[in-house]
Amino acid sequence: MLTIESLSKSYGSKKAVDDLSLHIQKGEIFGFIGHNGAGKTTTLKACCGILKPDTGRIRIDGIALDEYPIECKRRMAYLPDNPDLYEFMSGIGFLNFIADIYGIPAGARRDRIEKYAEMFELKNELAQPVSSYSHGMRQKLAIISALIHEPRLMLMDEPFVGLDPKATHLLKGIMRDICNRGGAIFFSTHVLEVAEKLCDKVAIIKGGRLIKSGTMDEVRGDASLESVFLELEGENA
Amino acid sequence: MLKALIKKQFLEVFASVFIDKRKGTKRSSGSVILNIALYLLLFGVVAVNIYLVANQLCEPLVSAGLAWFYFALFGLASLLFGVLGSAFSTYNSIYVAKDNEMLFSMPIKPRTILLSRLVSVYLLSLLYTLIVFAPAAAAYFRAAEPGIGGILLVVLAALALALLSSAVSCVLGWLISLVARRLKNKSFVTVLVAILFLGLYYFFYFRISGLLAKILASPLLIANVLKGYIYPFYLMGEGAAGDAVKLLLFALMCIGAAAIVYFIISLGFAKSVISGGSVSSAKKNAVYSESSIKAGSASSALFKKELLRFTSSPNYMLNANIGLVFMVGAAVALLIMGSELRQRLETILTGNYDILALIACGAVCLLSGTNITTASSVSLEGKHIWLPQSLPVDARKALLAKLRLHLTIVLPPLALLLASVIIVFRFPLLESVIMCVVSLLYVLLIALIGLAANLKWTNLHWTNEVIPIKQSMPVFISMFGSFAAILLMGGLYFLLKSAVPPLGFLFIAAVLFGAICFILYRLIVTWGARRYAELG
Repeated sequence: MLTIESLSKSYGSKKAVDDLSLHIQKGEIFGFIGHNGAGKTTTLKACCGILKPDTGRIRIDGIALDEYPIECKRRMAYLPDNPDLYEFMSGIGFLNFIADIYGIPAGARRDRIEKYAEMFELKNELAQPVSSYSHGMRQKLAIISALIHEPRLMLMDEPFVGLDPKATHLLKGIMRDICNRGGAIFFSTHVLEVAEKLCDKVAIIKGGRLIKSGTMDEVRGDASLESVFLELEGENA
Repeated sequence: MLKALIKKQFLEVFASVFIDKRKGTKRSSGSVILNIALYLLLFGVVAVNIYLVANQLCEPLVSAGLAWFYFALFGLASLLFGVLGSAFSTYNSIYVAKDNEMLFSMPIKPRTILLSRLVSVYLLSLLYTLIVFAPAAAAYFRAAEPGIGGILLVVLAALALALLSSAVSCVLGWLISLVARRLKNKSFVTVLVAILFLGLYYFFYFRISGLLAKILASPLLIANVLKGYIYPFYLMGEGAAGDAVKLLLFALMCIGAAAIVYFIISLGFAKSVISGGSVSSAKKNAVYSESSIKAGSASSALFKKELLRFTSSPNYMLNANIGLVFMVGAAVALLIMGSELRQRLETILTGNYDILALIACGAVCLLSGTNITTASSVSLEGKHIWLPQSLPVDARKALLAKLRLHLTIVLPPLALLLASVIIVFRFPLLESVIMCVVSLLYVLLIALIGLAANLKWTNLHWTNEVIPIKQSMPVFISMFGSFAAILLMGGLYFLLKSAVPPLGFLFIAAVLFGAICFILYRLIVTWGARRYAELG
């Protein structure tokens, strides 16, 4: 579903991502773990076409992102860690905008908006301006907008930050549901317990370089993900 | 505690002198000195103009024993200037200050927070008061030579006047906050009020010489008639002219007014700030209904987004499109006074009347060139740039939506202006058509120049939207580029006028503008689209 081949990206003299290769298959929830500044967000932004890699290639569903960016973006959704949404729009205005961009017919968008807005308890606030939303409400609106076109691949940067326990639980269910329908999830997190319980595979990144990846069992062995992560961090210090 | 808050307010008021808001960094010493010098130059130019007016009035009024009337007039002018200048900043600094929430979470009484805010309002009012009152006082000192005691009384009068000005500004700021919390379309009302203020300013500006002549013709009569209506200013005037008791009375009135305003505002201050925010209650109480789900094309969604961005920001509407007011104003003025103007021009241009189409077209272009919506449209994406970049949107479509917004805003007033020009000056069909074509292409040209410049010099990291809207290279290029284009075309005409008739030159202008538009359009849809996709 998502293939990253030898991805490198630098900001000035600082190498944010260095020769990173990963393959996320259909049906997989893939966790991306690393400390602050490890290169997680840069990798995710490059995968969704916001950042242009210095070298390397990204393919979505076999399609090269650099050659066919629009086709690739139609298949995926990106959820940033702190979604800055259009504050001059109402919640429903924003969802209509996103649905128009993806060309979702009125009937389908109504069903999906109502389904997810009810699920995340945001329906009553949809007519209000985004500027009046709390951080958690913005996060929920961003999640609904990401789901509105039923993406096959979801790229998420710290998706659980700011969400209440109920919304967190719902999002985990939605992530699994996308994978069960043949999609894939690639998300970054600092919460190792969540990654341990949710992910089929994980990758650990440090200083822009991949230091370990594989299935959850391959990575952690008999230990906990936390102890493996801390051990690897120490080894590579 | 109050001292610390007042210190913070002082730092905030003078922040623009010491901090570069574009970069968010501290200015160098040289930059601070240059900044202060620029401010002094700006205020100096205004002050010199006021001094020249004051000088005309001072001697006749003082020698007629009407020094009080002289000070009362300038007191009123400084009050008007101060209130018009600081009403919106008073509203912003009291009700929608960014640190309101933080301060309210601290163990500080709301009245103390309000008092510290009012100190900065007073400081701003004093600044505005002095811009008008100081030159008038200087003219008085020169004419009346009042001595140290007299100078001191004038200074005290200015300080008291600033207190009155800040009290009136606070009342207006409070009214604005009341209205803002109830209105759905706050941005439009803000724009309308700002245009009203601008209209008032120009109204007085254009009538000032007539008013001066009337006052100088019969000062005693006018002073006696007005005395009862402007009694506090009579007291202030007498005080500034030497009567300390009357000045004390005026100062007590000002202190009383300020105290009443402080007391009234403090009653509902905490409630206004906590429940207020920047969102009106009408919007907060909006209810979702199924009918609000509407499908449209990606292009129309992008255009709607640009339109919403535009209409949500009074800063954007006012600064990027103030030309619309001038265009509509010119069209209406032409329809009202057009025949008189036509007769005058027929006399002036005897034998060269065919040049009128060229002049009219140049004037229409000049006015429409003051609209520069696209020059900040890319920078205004700011922290939201991730959205169009991560969505399946062709960057060309996103850029064309910005062009479409510019044309949608400017073309209706342009059509009105062109129609009134054609009707008033009775241009024949061919000239009318070519004028319309040149004006349309010129509007497109300015939009394309602004967009290309903004793509080249993009600032997505602003902290205040005023920076890309007012203080950026693309805005400078668009604004002065539009004037330069007209000047260049004027120069070109004078070079070619022996060989090319005015109508022929309009054809040349149309071809030239069309060619540049085509080149810029190609540049934007190729290089510009790539650049837009990689911004951030």
